[in-house]
Amino acid sequence: MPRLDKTRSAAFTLIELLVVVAIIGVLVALLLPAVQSAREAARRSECINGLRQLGIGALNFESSQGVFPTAGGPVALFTNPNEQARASYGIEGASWMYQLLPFIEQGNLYALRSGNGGSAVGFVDTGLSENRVPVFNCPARSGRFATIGTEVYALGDYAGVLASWNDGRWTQFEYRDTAPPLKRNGMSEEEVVWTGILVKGGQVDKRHDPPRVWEFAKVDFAAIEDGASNTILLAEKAAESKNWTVTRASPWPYWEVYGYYTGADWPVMRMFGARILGEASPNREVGVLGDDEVRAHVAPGGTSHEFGFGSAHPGVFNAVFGDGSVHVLSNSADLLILDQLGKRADGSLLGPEQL
Amino acid sequence: MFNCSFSSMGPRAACAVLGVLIGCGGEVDPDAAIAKVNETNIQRLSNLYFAYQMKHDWRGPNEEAAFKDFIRHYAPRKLERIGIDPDAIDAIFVSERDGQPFQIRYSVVGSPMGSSEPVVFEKAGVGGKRMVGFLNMEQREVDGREYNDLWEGKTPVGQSTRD
Repeated sequence: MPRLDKTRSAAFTLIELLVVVAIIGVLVALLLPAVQSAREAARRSECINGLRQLGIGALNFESSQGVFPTAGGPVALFTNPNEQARASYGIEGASWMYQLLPFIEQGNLYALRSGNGGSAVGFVDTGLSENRVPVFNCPARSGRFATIGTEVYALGDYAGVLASWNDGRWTQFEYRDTAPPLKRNGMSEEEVVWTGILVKGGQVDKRHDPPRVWEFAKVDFAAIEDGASNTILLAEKAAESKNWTVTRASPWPYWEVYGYYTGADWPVMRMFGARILGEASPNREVGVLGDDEVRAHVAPGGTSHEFGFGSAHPGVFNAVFGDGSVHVLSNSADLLILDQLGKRADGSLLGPEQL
Repeated sequence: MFNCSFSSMGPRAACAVLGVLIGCGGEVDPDAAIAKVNETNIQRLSNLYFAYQMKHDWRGPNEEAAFKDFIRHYAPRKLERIGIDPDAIDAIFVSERDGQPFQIRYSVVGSPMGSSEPVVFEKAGVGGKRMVGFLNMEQREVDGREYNDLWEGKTPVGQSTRD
């Protein structure tokens, strides 16, 4: 009887190894799409849960204060020395994200702004602006922060809704804290830009002593004339995948910086920029964009300016409505309908079921 | 015969397959990212100039003493993560390339929407070119003529544009 060669039996020939590798390869090829689709479904579900928490947080805020949180103040307030420890002009300069912190069990983060009694106060010195809050981010994206100068800013994935800049009455909105609210043809930004549930808290002109303050009307349920279940509160905002992390300050990335707590500005507010047929719309249409889709407006250096909504989920994005319900909407949904769903009192009879 | 034992290859291969399947890795470390945009003294100093403006209503320091005092009181943890020894602030005021102290434009006004003003200048430079640091996180070598124009504020600075 032949003797067993123990050395030979403990090893594989190259052919055997290649066969095993090929079998594993085939198995992986079969499994990969299923696993990736399951992972995406899990991420989408987690994203929906996050939005639902934010919706409930906003409803709890409304129960407690009688109004919804504001979008924030002009973005310059973010760095205004008087505004560091607390809102000091009678309006809250920090964004809806900051205002919601106590209502999403992040009261300790909320308290960071006032500082520790030393020189570190505000959003930057205390580290508040670089502290990631999981519920502000969709798990389908990663590395969402900006490194500007010496500071890190956590970047959010959700935004409230502005009017479309292709609305005939559109004006810009003021980001400085040294100017009155912007007006065009006698119409203030309060009337034509801040038409959703989250509206700018107001405007500050600190060149005067005392500073001049314009407080905008806050939104309660009565002000949502189209119905809370028919009005989008928050939705996933557009962010090109190659720019999830922002590391350049030229051109200034105003659509992302200064992150979560920036006042009423592009980092926390976006639009469904629908171009209305037959009107001389001066601005380009802002489609709902997937993170890997090609951007129409790319600045030198390859950064895309983002004004709209979108997501990393294939073909869809999530939105929470004013009643706290979350809906998965198609990226190819009619922009005009989306724009109308973002407005609280435009008289439209539309609801999410029309999409 | 090619000898390949599963005892050494197996776990690695399994890890690789698992890695592909569950998608591990990919997270970017913010501390590493901020260090990457603060690798040289001219970068650090320009970025700290911006930090000073941010804390002082967008006005730059009016003299070196005020700038150094600001940096001395900056959070030590933040200084360390951009490669600055909090006990050796003076060291970042010297260029690593020519060993000379930087020249700094003081009292430059910035904006919450960024600025591309030049603020930190090499004194001697290398090979006839001197490095200039801008508030928009960029640095570049310039020749003598452009250097003078930038130093004297003659070069038009792009205004921050936004919608």
